[in-house]
Formats: sequence, structure tokens, C-alpha cells
Amino acid sequence: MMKTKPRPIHLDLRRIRMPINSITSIAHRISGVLIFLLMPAGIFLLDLSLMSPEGFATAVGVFNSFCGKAVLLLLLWAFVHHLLAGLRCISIDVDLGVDKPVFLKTARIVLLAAFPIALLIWVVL
Amino acid sequence: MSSRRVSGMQAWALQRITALYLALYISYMIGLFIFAPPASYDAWRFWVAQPHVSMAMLLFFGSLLFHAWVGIRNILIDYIKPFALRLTLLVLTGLGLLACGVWSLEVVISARIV
Repeated sequence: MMKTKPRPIHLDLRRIRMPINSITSIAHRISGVLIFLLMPAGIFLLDLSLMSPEGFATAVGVFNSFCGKAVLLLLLWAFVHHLLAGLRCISIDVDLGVDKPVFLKTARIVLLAAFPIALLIWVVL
Repeated sequence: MSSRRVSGMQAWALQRITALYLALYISYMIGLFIFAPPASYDAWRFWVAQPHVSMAMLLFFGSLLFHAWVGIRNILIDYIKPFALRLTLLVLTGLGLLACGVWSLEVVISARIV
């Protein structure tokens, strides 16, 4: 009987080799956690903006502040990356882009396209 | 078939169905804020208070919370090995999401009254 080498079974991020697709994948997770953490702030601002004209002005002010703009850019990147990586995931679910060269190429496209798309939305918003 | 397998399948499907709605809703909202941002408090409040807009917004928050639950749960199960810590973080995440759900429900509903 042929013996196979015992394979390491762990998800230790410091020891895992990270090819491009795994960077895209981990960024999918990081962007998701980021959106999750920003959720209370989002609901708070929505609440504020609907409460009174003063609240609305304050919420607009937050979006126009330096800090607000920086967080918004980060949030937009997180959304665009999460969306593109998610679409890639769904396309792999239906057997599209499963082969290795395509798989690696789409991972690279998702990872690299998210920044300029987010920046473009941020500029025109 | 074990119930665990069924529950994993449900989570998988739920993640994709909510993903599609979130993708459409957020893209629409970004488009709206680019091309026709609310000009004033009154315009904004009136827009949100319309039944179909409130409904779409509540559906958005519902989808977001379920989607976040499945995603964060997967992450915690993958990376947090000590059982007590994992359970604590899962419970905190669940309670936090539930609180966000109640809060967002209250925000959207109260935009429709008074």
C-alpha cells in the first residue's frame, strides 16, 4: 500500500503559504469583518439623519469631514472587494473559472480592480 | 443525513441569496447617492418613509444581519480554537447583530411615523 506524506491540517495564518488567490480570499474575509464592525456606525448615522434637520446636517457634516471621507473610502473598498470576490465565489460555485490559470487570473483581477473602482466611486460621490 | 449537513447547506444558500440582494441594494443606493443625492432633510425623510423604500431598507438590514452572521460564524469557527472563547465570541456576535436588527427596525419604522 502506498503511504502518503502526512499533510499539515491547520489554519494558522502565520504558517500558511499565500498565493494570490488566498490573498484575495483573506481580503474577502477582512473586508467582511470591516463592514460588520462599521455597521453600528452606519445605523447610528442613518438614525441621526432621519431624526431631525439638525441631525441630518450633522450626518452630512460627518461625511464631509476628513475622517468621514477616509472611513468612507475604506468602506467602499471593503464593499467593492467583497462584492467582486463574492461574485467570483458564486461563479466558481456554478463551475465557471475553476481551472487553475483562470482561477488565479480572476483572483488577481478582483484584488487589483477593487481599489480603482472604490476610488472612482469615492471621487464622484 | 445528519442535521449538521442540512444546516451547513442552508447557511450556504442563505449566504448567496442574501449576497445577491445586498449587491443589488447597495449598488442601487450608491447610484442614487451619486446621481440624485437627497437635497434636504425633508426630501430624505419623505423618500425613506415611502412604503416600498422602507420595505427594501428593512429587507436590506435583515439580509445584512443574516449574511454577517453566517460569515462571522465561519471565521470564528475557522480561527478560534479554544471552545469557551469561540462560544463567547459567537454569542457576543449574535447578540450584537440582534441589537443592530432591533435598532435598524426602530430607525426605519420611526421614519414612517410622526
